[in-house]
Amino acid sequence: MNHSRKHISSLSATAALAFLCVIFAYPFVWMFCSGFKTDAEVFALFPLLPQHFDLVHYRGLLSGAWIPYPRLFLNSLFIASLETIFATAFACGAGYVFAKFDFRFKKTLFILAVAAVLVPRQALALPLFVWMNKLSLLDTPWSVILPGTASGVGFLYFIAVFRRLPDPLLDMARCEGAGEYRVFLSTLPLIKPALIAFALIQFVLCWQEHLIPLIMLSTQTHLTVTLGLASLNAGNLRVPYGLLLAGCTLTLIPTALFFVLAHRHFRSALASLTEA
Amino acid sequence: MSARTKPLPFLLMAPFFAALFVFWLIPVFKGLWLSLQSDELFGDSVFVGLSHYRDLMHDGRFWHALRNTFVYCGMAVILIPPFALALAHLLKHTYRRSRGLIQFCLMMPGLTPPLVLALLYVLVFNGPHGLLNRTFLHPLGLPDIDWIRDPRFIKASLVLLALWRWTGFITLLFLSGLEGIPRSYYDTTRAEGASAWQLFRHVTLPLLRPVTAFVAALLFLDAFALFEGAYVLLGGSGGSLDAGLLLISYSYLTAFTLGSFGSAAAIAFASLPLLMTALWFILSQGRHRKPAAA
Repeated sequence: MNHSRKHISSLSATAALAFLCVIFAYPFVWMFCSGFKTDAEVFALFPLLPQHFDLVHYRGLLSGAWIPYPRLFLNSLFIASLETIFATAFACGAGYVFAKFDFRFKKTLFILAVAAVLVPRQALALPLFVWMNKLSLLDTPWSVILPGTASGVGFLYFIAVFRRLPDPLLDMARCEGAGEYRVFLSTLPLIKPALIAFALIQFVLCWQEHLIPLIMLSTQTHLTVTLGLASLNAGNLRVPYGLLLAGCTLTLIPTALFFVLAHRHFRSALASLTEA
Repeated sequence: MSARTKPLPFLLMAPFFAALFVFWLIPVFKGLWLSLQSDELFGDSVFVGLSHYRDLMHDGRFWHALRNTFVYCGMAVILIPPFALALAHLLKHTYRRSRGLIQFCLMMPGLTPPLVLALLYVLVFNGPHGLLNRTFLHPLGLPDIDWIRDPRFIKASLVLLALWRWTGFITLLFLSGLEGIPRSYYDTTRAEGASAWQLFRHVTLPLLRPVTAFVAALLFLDAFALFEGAYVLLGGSGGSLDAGLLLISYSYLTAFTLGSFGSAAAIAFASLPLLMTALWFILSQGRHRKPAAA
């Protein structure tokens, strides 16, 4: 009796979520299929699946006839990867020091980092633009990467992560004669899930960033892929919808791949975080 | 070994704080300075004191954008977490083997650039072929709604967009939180005769408090900084009757369309105290029995 009741509740929960998944995922399926269709087919409700897998839009996109798509894609990858690596490394190092050491001005610096969480980068877009202009970094990838390297949220996250690491473990490494930097390096394998989870979130957010690249970058070959798509959509180019949607489809690949690969670590890091 | 005797690995924290100083603190002061200058972009601007802020007090569009932003932030914070918490409960009861796929489907919008999401929203949900009109209005015999141009529905569209984007991630966060609650808590409370609702009310909710506060702060911050969604849906303007005009878009418009940098900086900075207070309030709600982190 109890067993079958559990079965029913599992079944209904799965059914309810499956219904929601269909709503959530339908536009993506539509987008994927539309990449192979002509404009007339795109907006016809049936059939959803393309009649034949015509690669004309993908060829048009990758040949750079409308926008230098492959170039923009690489720009985005470069920016998001470097921003992720820097932000993760910086936040991890600073978080470690704040979790395990006491020193003068610690409180002041901490308050500063918290203030950085409360004032988002988007609100500082304008002064950042003027500042980057003064540093003559405008229209380079660095003008987008550098403002994202100090992540206040990451700093707080890694303090929590390192707090959970027992001190005797570090003392053991010290007794074996490791210097302080070696001790830090020896802790990294222990917090691998946290590192991967933070890097994943950071990468996804950098990949999605729109406002900062929009104001910083201007040369067409320097743009990020989302800016390129925006220009395709906004211009009076009469771009085929199939081509636009093919471009959209490709932007999903890096983040979706990263998520699938890192999913296990991601879940375990979330679990440890929510316990903290 | 006490904390005091260890040599401080200064180099580990130097890069973070260097970046924070150069790319956060300096822009903050630059922005403040900018907001006290006249509107010329480079070179000839003169010090005008607080006059931009005084002008803002009489600027109807500013108050409008401020109200829109906070209504939108508030709606996102009030609607999304309960929805995601319900989904997390459901997800906990599904068949183990189906979970991966369900999570992936729910996460999908979160992994997509908001610009693409907004585009899909426009193309799939809006218009006479749009799913929103087709599924909700046509069966009831109601006329089509233009979900983007009708000022009454712009904010609803923005909230739906945020819901679509964040539900997956927040559901995962809540699920982790739920799975972190020891079973024995429930067993003990149930043994005392508590109903399912009482279990939820007195065990689950208090233990999820820190996660909930974190989620609320995240949503608030993201909603405040929202730009792409509004930018695509409304083509960079405030939409009809400015119903979708948000602070960040207004600041952007003022700076890059009108070229008034001083005023634009003042718009951003005038709204910061409110944002910081709201976030501080949300985060302080999550701190039960835990002392301040520093």
